[in-house]
Amino acid sequence: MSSALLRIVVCGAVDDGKSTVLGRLLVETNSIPLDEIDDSRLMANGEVDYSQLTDGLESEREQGITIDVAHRHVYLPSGRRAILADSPGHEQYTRNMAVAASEADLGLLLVDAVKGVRDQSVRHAAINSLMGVKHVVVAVNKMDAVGYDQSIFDGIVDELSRRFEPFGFEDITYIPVSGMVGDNVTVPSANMPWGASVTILSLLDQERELDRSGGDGSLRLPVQFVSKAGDVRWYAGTIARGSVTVGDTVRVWPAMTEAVIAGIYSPNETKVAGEAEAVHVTLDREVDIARGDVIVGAAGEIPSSRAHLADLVWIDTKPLDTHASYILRSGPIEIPARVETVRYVRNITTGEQARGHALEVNDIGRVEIVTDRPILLDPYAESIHTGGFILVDRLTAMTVAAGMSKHPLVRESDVVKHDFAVGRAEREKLNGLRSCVLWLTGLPGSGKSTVADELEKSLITLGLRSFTLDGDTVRSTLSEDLAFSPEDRKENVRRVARVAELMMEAGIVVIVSLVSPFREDREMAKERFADGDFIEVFVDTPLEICMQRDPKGLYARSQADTSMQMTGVGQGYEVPLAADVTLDGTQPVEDSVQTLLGLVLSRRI
Amino acid sequence: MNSKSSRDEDAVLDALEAEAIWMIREAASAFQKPVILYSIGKDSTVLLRLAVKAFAPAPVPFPVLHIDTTWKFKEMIKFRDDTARANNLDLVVHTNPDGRDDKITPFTHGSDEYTRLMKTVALRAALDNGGYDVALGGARRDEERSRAKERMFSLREPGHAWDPSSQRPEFWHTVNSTLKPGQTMRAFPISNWTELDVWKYIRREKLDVVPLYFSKERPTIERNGQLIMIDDDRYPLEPGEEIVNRRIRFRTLGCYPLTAADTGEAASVDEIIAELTLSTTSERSGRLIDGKGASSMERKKHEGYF
Repeated sequence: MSSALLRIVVCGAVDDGKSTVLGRLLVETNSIPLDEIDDSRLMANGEVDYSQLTDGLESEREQGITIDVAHRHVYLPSGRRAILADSPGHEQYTRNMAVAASEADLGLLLVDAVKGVRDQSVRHAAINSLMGVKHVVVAVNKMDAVGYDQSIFDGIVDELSRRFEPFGFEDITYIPVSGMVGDNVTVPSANMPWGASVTILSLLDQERELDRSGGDGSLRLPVQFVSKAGDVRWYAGTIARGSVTVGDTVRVWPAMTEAVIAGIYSPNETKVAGEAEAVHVTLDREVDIARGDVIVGAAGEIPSSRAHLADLVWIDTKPLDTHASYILRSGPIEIPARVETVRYVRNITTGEQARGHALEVNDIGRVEIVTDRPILLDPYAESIHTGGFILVDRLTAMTVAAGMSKHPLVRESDVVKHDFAVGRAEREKLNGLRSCVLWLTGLPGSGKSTVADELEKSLITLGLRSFTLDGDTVRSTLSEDLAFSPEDRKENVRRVARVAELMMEAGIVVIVSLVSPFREDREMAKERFADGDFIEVFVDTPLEICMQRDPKGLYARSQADTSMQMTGVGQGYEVPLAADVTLDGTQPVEDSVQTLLGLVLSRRI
Repeated sequence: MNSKSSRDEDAVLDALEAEAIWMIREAASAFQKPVILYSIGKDSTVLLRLAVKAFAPAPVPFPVLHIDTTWKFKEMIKFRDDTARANNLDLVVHTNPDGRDDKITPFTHGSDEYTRLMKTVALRAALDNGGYDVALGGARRDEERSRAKERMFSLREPGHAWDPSSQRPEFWHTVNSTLKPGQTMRAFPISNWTELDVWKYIRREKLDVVPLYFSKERPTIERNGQLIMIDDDRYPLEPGEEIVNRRIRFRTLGCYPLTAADTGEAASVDEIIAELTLSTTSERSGRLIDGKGASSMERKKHEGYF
C-alpha cells in the first residue's frame, strides 16, 4: 500500500493535553474549517479553546474528558495526509485506545511535564507495542508550566527510556512541547533553545507507513463472498498479505486444493494486485470455496490448528469464562471457540506475570484458545489481518476480547504418535520390576528427603535403578518461573507428575519428595496413573518436631518474615485422607525405608 | 500541483476506495438484508459507484432506498430516477404517509419537527418495512464533530437509537456482525473520506452529479442572511421578500427550503476542487437544521436520524 495515508494514534493519560495539542495541530495546519472554531462558542477569553475542538460528544464536553476515539485529517507539509485518532486517556476506555492503535503506523504519546510519568503513559505505550506499533513520538507537554526546565524534560526521558525498554520499539523520539502556548507543535519553540529544532508536525511528516507484513510474505486472501457472473465464479476479498498475479499457483485453505489464478479485478481488470487491495479473482478450475476460506500461496507452512497461543485484551465488563463457548471472528472466518487456559495475566506497567487469574476488563493475558475446527491464524507480528481476531459473547452479542495470535499449538489429540517397538514393559525387564512412583508428601522438615535418599541407597545396593525428584531441585530447574501461591504450587505439582510419569515409562523407580500440601493437587497427580503405579506416601511428622528440626532454617525465617507462604505456618497442609502408606516420622528412618523397600520389591517380575 | 503530490493523492484515493469496497462487501455478505441509503447528493453518488465496483462484474445485489420528504429539489428527483434507470438499480422510495396526509411542512411545523417526521421517522419505518439489518450510508467523519466519533459499522438499538457509549470496538478487518433481535447496523464505507476526496473521486471516475452543485443563475430569496433557492410555488414568501435571480451553487443538497445556497462561482468539478482547496468553512454551514445548538446532530442521531 502507498505511504500517502498515515494513521496515527494520539494517546496518553487523562489531562496530559492530547486534545489541546491535537486541536492546535488541526488549526495551525488549516486542517479544520474556520466555522467549526467560531461555531458553538468555542472561544474562551477571546482565545481558542483547542481542547474543545475534538471532543465531539455532548457527554464528553460536559465531563471535560475524551470517551471515544475521534478521527481527524491533518494535512502534512509534504502534501501527504494523516488520519489522527484522538484516543481516550481514562483507564476504563482502554479498549477504545486499543482500537485506535490496532491499525496505526505511529503512536504519538503525550506526557504531562508537571505530573511526570504515570502508569497510564506506560500502559498506553505497552498497548501500542502489543498492537504492533513500532515507532513512537513522545511529546512531553505543558513545558510552559515547568518554566521550560530542561532537567525536568531529561528526567522524564530517562525514566521512560527505562520503562519502555521491554516494549521493543524500533524508534522513539522525545520532544518537549506546550500545546497551550504552541511550543514545538508546528512552530519551533524559542523558549527551549536547549532542545533540537523539531516540531511534532515535522516529526510526523518524516514518518513512513509501517510495513506490517512479515513471515514468508506469502499470499493471504480471505474470501468475503463468492459471486457468479455468467459461467464464471468470482471470489471477493481484500489481500491481507503478499500479492497475487495472474498465472500464480495458489492453495485454498482449509481444503488446500491447488488452483491457478485466471483473472483479477482490483477493482478494474489487472494482472497483479498487492497488499490491502480489494480484489475479485477467478481460478482456472472449479473449486468449492465459501466465505471464510483463505486463498494462500503455493508454498509455505500454513499455521492451521485447533489450538493457538495468543494474547487477549479483555474488553468486556463480564470476565472471561473458560467454560463458555465464544464466537471467534478473524476477517470473514467465524468459528466457535473456547479459551482453554489462561497461562498468565500480564501487569502491563510492571511486566509481571500473574498466574491463576481470570481475565477481567482491561486485562491482558496470554491464553491457549481452542476452536471447534482448525483455524488459520498467522502470528500477528507477521500478518495483522489474519493474525488478529475478536471473541463475541453468544448471549450479549458484544465483542468481549481482541486477540493476537502468537503461534499454533500442537495438542495431544493432534499428535499422531509413532508406534515405538520399545516400551515401558521392555525397559522394566532391565530392572526386573514393575516401575512405579512413590509420592512422598508431608510438612517441610518431616523427613521426606532423608527417607528418599536412604531408600535410593538401598535400591542401588540391590542393583535397581531409581531417581528422586526433589522439591528443591525441581524448584530451581523445571519450575524456576513459579512462586509459592496456591496456583503456582498446583502448576508445580502438575509438572512434577508429568515428569514422574515419563520417568516411570523409562522403567525405573521414581521417588517424588514434594511438600504438595493440597489434597486436590495430589489427586490430580494420581489421576494420571494406572492403579497401583502411583503410591501416595504420607510422611507424618508433627509440626512441632518439624519446627524443631528445621533443617533449612525455613520455619525460623518465616517467623521473621510473615509474608512467606510457609506450609504449616502461613499456609495450611491438607493431611491425606487415604494415603497408600503412612510413615511415622518420629520413628527411626530405617523403619520407613524398610516399609517402602518391601513395597517396591513386591513388584518384581 | 506537482506530479509527486498528484501521485500521492491518487494513492490516497486508491486506499480509501479499497477500504470502502471491503466494507460494502462485508455488509453484503456478513448480514442478511442490506440496503443502500441513497440521498442523491455527491456522497451517495460516490457510494453507489463504489457499490457497483465492489460487485462488478456481477450486479449490485441489494436495493437502494431513498427517503422522499416531498421537499427535495426537482432536479434531485430527476437525477435519482435517471441514475436508477441507467444503473439498473432496484430503487425503493419511501415517504412518511401520515406526514404527507397531514401536510407536514417546515413552515407549518418548524424545521425540527418536520425533520423528525419526514426524515427520521420515515427512515425508521422504511428500514423496518424492508426488514433491512444493515443500511449503508454516505456519512463522513469530517462532516461534523459527533460524526468524527462514529464507527465504520455503527450499532443501532431496537427503534434505531444510537447509543455512543455502547458502540462496538472495531479491530482490523474483523466485524462483529452478530445482532440481537431488533438491533440493526449502519455502515459508513466512506467514513474516512473528506469532502475534497469525494470531489476528486468524482473527477477521477468521471461521475455525473446533480447540476445544482454547479454555479448558475437561479431564482432566490434572502432570509436571515442566507440565500434560499425557490424551487416551486409552495414556498411562502414574507412581506418584502422578492425573488431575485442570482448566480449560486450548493455545497450540500437536501430539502430546498432548508438548504442555503453558496455564492461560489465554481461551474465544473475542477472548479469546485479549486474552490474547496481554498475554502475555510465546513460544508454543513449550508444546512439550516444543523445549526441549532452544538450537539443538534448528535441529538438527532440518538433518535435514529441518519
